[in-house]
Amino acid sequence: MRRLLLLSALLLLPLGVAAEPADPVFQAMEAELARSMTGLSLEELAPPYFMALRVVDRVDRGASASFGALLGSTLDRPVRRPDGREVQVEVRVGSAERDNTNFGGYVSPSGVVRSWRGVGEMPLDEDVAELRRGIWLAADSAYKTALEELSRKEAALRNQRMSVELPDFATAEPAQVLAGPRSMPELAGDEVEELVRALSAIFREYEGIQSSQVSYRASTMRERYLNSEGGRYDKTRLYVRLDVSASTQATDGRRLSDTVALYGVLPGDLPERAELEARVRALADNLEGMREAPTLDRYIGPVLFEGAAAAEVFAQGFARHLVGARKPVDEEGGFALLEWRDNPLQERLGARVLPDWMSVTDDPSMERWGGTALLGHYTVDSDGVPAAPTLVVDGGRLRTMLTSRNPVPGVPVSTGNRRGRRVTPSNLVVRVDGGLGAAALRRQLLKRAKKDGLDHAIVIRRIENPLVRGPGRRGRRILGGSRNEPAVAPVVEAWRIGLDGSEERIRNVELRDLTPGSFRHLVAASRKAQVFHVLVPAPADPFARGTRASSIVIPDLLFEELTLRTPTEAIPSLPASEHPYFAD
Amino acid sequence: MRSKGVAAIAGLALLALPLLVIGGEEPADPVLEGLVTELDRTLENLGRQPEVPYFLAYEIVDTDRAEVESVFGALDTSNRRQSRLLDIDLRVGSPSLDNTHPIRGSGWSAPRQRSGGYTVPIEGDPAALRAALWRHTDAAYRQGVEQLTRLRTNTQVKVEEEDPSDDFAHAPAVELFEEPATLAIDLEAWEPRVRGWTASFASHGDIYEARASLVATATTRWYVNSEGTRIRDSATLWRIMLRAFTKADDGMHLPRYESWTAHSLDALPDDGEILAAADRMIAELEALREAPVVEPFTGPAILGGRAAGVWFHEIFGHRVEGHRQKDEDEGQTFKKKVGERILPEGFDVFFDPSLQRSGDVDLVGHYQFDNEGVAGQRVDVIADGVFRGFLMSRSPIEGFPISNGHGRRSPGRNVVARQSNLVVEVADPVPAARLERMLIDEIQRQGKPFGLIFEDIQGGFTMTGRGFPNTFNVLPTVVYRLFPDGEKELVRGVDLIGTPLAAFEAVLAADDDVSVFNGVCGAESGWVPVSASAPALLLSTVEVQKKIKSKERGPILDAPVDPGGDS
Repeated sequence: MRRLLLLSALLLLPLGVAAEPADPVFQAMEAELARSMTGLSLEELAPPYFMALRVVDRVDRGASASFGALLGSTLDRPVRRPDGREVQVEVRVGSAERDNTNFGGYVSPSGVVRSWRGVGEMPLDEDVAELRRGIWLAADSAYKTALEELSRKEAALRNQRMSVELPDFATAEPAQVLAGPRSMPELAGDEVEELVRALSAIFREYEGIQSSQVSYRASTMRERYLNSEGGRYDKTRLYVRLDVSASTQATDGRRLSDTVALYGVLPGDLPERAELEARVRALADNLEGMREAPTLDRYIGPVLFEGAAAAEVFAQGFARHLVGARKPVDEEGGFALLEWRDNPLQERLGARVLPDWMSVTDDPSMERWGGTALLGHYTVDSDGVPAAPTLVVDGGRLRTMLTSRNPVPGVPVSTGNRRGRRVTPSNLVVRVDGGLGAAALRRQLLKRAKKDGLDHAIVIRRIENPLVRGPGRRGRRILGGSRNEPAVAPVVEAWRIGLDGSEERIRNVELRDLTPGSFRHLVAASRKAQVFHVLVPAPADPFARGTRASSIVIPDLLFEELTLRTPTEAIPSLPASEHPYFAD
Repeated sequence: MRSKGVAAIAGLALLALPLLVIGGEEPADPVLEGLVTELDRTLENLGRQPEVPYFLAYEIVDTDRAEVESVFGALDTSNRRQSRLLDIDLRVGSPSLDNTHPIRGSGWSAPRQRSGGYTVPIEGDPAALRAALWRHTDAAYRQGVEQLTRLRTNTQVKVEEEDPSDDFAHAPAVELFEEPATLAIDLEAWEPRVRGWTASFASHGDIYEARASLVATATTRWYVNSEGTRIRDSATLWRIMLRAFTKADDGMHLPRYESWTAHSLDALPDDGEILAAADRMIAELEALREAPVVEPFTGPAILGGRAAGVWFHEIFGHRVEGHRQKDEDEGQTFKKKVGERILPEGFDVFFDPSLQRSGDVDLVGHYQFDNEGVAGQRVDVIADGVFRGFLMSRSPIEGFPISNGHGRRSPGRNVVARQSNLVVEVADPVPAARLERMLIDEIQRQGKPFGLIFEDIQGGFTMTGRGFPNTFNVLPTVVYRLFPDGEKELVRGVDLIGTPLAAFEAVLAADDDVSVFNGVCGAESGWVPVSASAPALLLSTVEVQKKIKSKERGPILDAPVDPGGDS
């Protein structure tokens, strides 16, 4: 039976060759995939039943500056040739029912040249023979490692049984999606350098800010993919990002920091220069304003999340848990299960997770929303599964988890959400019935506060995203679900709204008791939705680099009751001397 | 014995004095301006704090690095990047006890070390630079005060230290202003050349890696301190490296390396020489695959010049790094041997960072001033076989109160005493051809079945602490077995091991053919470039142990290459 399947897989390959003109990379992939599927076997050990090759070309260009001077720049090089190329080899041995994947134990890679997680180096030249050599060595390593993984997994399963029996690989129709290469327009290096320099120089106007940085990055990633079922794609992801970060201390010494991350597909998607300057000034104003702002001992009451804060609280507190997960097989005493956390949303599959007036769709096929290019758009996912909308939450009920071809309890098929190595939401569109106008929403907030006997309510306008700058120690604890940490990152902009409508900025606020379950108690949302680009932390492995950005279309959200407080942490002393620029 | 050591070092310091007056007018340099202004301002401001720094130094290293790399004739990497990294040495307390003093007996309590310096602007904007200096100096000051507070208690509650030397030595202020280094390189022009260096490996399916790289770096360094030292110096380094490996049928990993290093482009070899080396590597790799494995063995041996250089670097060089002599966890093999004979008469060993070349080979351990702004001085550590002293940073040890310009680090690490250019010289070398004859005589005298010739090595490592065996390990790549009848056979599978004192006792003779090993040395203060120049040595006894052997079998499928060139 296995032999028959192999033959049919092989028959599919020549079709692909005919469809694609002679691209040396695809030629090398085809030749080595065919050779590996027939030739890779060891004495009594089975050949692969599935293989996929993905060749990834990357070009990264960028510049960063601080306080008006460049920290570094890679903009003096043309973008036409990749900086780096790698092959990612996926090998499955065993059968779709039980194979080498979903094993939590650590298996050191095998092979003459060990390819970690199946990744092998590839030359930049379009030289078929040398491209084949790179694939040959990576595939050899990946196959031998897969055999070891399967044998360790089988051994572990001799002494245990999984409480939920699931197949290891979901079927999917092989798709051929050949979007072809796209490239980032050549960047005007001088202009970009001048831009980051000028934006970073704005901080020379802000005496209260201790450190700041502006960075610009334009990335191109072309993926060519081929699998043994006949699936094939060629797609290019373009991505532009401008980050602004700044930090200081409040007058009592508490640390304050703020970050703005602006994303686009092409450089032209970023806001105009004047708007960028305004965003930097807004960040700086907010940070300076917070230095003298009062703190909050404790607040229990209604909280309104406006704009970007609604997107962040939804991403960090809810959407990250829409990704389906399964408990891996692990050896006795292994770490995988110790680190395992049950997904609180997955346990409610089929039940209500949001108010019945809310629905959520994940839609990678959506390219733009209004005039905004969406970062979660793709035509085919990293398993070669074509992009399609998935209604994830319908009338408040959780209909499915987001998945790859790795089945999870309750979801046996892929929703086409594999992005790189991980399953990540693409474009999430949150729809509400009966949304309120801005003024009505504000009235509702204050009405609820008054009913709770409070003389004020809280509006949150921005929340930090620990993945933007790299999570740091605290961010890791938060993203890792540490018991003593809140579920979402600290708030960077919060306001106390008096019952008379007066606004006062408060600082050093964190959300203590927000859980995915809190979202069931949303009481209202705005009629108007806006789009935001965010990095949704993966539930497992949340700190790994390379999280793909998602776009979230979301209204403002009003929670019935949340607890806010000032974090209990050591407060550093203020600097022993003044900032030199402002002291002179 | 100790007074001799002091005399030797004092003499060196005097000799070095003329170096200290080099330099000229301070140039208009925004980096220097930013550094000096902020240094002065910081000292003034922190002078009002309860704990006043008694020393502050800033060091900025600007590196412009270009790299072109090929694998099997195809381009793998071609890029260029500039970075500028800051280090701050801030000391509170006094030279006799300051915040850099180790806290004893409390496990992981050493001052935190970063893995790289702080990033500062690559542009000469004094305001932006000063903003970064201010922020990082403030953090360094807080950390220094915290550390000193802990130390003051720690020194009271622990027993007296074996070496009560101060934490910091005086050093004269110097000025040097060199032109910043520039890198003139056309990457696209190099790409076809670098591809060509590995092209001949492509038809060898049993060679699993063949990589050639050209790395060019231009480094400009600014150093200023609160004692008045002002330095801007610069260096360029060009390095070509070939590396390849194959595997024997039993799984053994068999690597070969070739490298050329030069301070200027014109001192690099031409393509003919590089291609000849590549062909030689291929022939050696193919021969190594078939070579027999040597079992653990003790007996006489010749260390080729490069192997001898690394052997000295590992067994001796690391043990004469000054700071180890007051670290009570260190083996301190030579601490009490000043004035004692440790090598045969006629053997001199010295370190000299002022040397730029040995014969026609540039030495990468060359520098004018170390990372503490002290002139790099020649240090005669062994003169006529007698041990004389240590490599010193500004951390004094008993009997050696001042630096001889060997305080080194890579950005982000704390300075300690490190090696520079190690040179082994002998008064009465034997002709190279005679050394093998002497080895045969020694084999026969000892009644051994064969001796070993270590022709080339990839590097080595050693352990100098007390908690582990004080051993060294030199990793040879080309080893021959020499039989009493003069027949030579290529062998594989052994590493050269031993302990330092016993190893030195085995030195019998040296030849007249000096070879140079240029490399980078890693230790607690990071990676620093070093060289070791030595003649081939005849040793009465060496010990070899089995090399770590990979358990990996070769690839299941044949390489997708056709020896004819088609694939």
